[in-house]
Amino acid sequence: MILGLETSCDETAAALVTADGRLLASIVATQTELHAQYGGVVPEIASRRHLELVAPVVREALQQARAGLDDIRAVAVTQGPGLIGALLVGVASAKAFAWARRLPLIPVDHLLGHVSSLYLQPLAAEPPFLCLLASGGHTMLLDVQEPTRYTVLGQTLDDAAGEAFDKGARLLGLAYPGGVEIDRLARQGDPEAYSFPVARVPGLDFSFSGLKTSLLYATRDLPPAELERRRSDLAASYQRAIVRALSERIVLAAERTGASQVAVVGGVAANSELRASLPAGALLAPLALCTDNAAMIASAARFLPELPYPQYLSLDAYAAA
Amino acid sequence: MLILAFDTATSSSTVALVHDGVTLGERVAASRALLEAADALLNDAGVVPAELDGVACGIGPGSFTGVRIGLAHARGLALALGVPVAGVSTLAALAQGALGVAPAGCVVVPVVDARRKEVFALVDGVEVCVPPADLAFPAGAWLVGDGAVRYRDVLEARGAAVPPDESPLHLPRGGAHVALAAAYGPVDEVLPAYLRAPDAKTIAERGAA
Amino acid sequence: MPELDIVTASSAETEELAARVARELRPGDVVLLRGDLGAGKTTFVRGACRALGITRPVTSPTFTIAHRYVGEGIDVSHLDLYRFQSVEPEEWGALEPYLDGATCFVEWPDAGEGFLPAARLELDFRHIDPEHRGITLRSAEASLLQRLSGC
Repeated sequence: MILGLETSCDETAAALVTADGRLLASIVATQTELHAQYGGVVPEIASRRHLELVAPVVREALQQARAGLDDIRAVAVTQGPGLIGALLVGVASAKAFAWARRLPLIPVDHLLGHVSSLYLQPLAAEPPFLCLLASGGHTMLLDVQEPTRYTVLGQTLDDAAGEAFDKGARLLGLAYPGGVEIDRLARQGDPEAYSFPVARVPGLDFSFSGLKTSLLYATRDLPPAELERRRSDLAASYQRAIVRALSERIVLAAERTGASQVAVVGGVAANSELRASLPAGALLAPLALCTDNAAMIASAARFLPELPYPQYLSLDAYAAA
Repeated sequence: MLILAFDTATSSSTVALVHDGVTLGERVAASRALLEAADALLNDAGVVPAELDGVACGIGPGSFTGVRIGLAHARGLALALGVPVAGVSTLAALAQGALGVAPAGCVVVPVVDARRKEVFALVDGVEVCVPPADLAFPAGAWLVGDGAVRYRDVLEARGAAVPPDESPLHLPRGGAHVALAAAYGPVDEVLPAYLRAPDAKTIAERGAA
Repeated sequence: MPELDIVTASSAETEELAARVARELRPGDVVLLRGDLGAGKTTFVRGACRALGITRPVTSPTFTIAHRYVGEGIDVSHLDLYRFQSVEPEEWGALEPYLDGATCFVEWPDAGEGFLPAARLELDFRHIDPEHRGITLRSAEASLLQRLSGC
């Protein structure tokens, strides 16, 4: 089995995946009791404690998979993009682990990792497909030709879709995590109550920064009781605007490229309205693997070249895509 | 005990292979190439990682990023080999390295670059973070470390003796870490010494915590 | 501390102001940006980056936390501490590489108090109406503000 490690930004995660793509264990620190030991109740406060969490998540993964160290035959790790200091904790741990046991190392690109969440059993998707990667930090349209090769067709020029959700939730006075809260509240609201225009930008790129300004102006003069009353409608209309912008782009890209299959991955892929708005047969990242995790990293590793000892010993992380 | 000792907190990383207190070999490397240097040391000694009995790792203070890189390596090694780890102050290791080299009775002050025009130093058993102009030391004291090198002019003007830039005294060397390693234990308990005002504690205070 | 108040009537004008500021900056300078959502902070950083020769998209670092770009003869870092309650030493390790040798723009900087170096320039952004933004520049260097006001 492959041990996957992910420490590119907020999450410290480890996973174990078999060579044929079965997920045996996926541990994301903020989703376990581990985070409570380090920062308390709100996962976001304990994020980024990679050094303290990297060993515990590996041990928990082994425990969850009922596996031992000898079952690991390769180590996969996110090499970038991400926060350089965070990435280095994962890369250093992974290299050291692999070196100590003379295992091969597979460095993995974080964005490719998200796409690779589609390759795990039971979904076991196969390219080619058009893929929307939408998260708090990224919004991109990818033409995926082979498991590890894609072309970027479009991307956001300012804010990512997940950020638009999160900041919209803040404007509406909703709790963390904002995207989940908007999704929940939107089901009770009227998506046509408000019109929030999303900027049209050339080609297949996206722009969401103006959207939060529209929401700001719609809410800034409302007294608290009024905001409370209209909140579901505002949430529903705001979500409709984001989802519409995303799904229209996907459809346009599919027309232009002639792609017969579309997919969506990343944290925003968990949004129920987005999932429902896609054409039938669309590939949807498993809900548990939408936000950052190490299972997707181990999944990508199955298709990437392995670096045998001693080729990876001086491997460095990279911050930018 | 066969120990792999390394320190990545300062401008150059050091790694050493130490057997029963005797340094078999040591190297200087960039932190990203730490394992390459360690690999060479083990190959030269004809041993493999599985034969290591423990890891001794510098915990800083120094560069935040550097300290984390070293400790992350320690975690990977500890997980993979099931060996215990000892954390050693980078400043203490620097001071230890000068013992027996500096003249008897001469005060040794380890000085590590803290950026922001400040340095970390060990003064009378207390780890401090101060501008080099405010560092307290007796005239003639030997100042060692990348902070001493960086601020040589200021420090020499104030009466310090700073060995030449290439002197190995300016590096926290693995033999010193092993000599100072008090207890080898679970790697999860070996944490960084991020020393930034207002967090100056004595070594005793930190040890008792 | 000396202050300069400016009103911009569009994103383009915010970016032009940023370009003028950018030309005054040196490696190691820290610029802090505060103000409400949508008031123009990232737009400002984008304008500064363009003036410094950075052509790739300058996107919001709210979730990615830090970006570092290579400009013409200068590196530019763009940090966003919106999602931080405070900056733990453990997290500073992740941020430190972005300050070394770069001009650094920090949005929502207050969580970083105690860790961020002293700023050369601080900016406050506020909404006036859907097009107009009020931007207040503060710096201990009165001469810097003088040069920026003389347009």
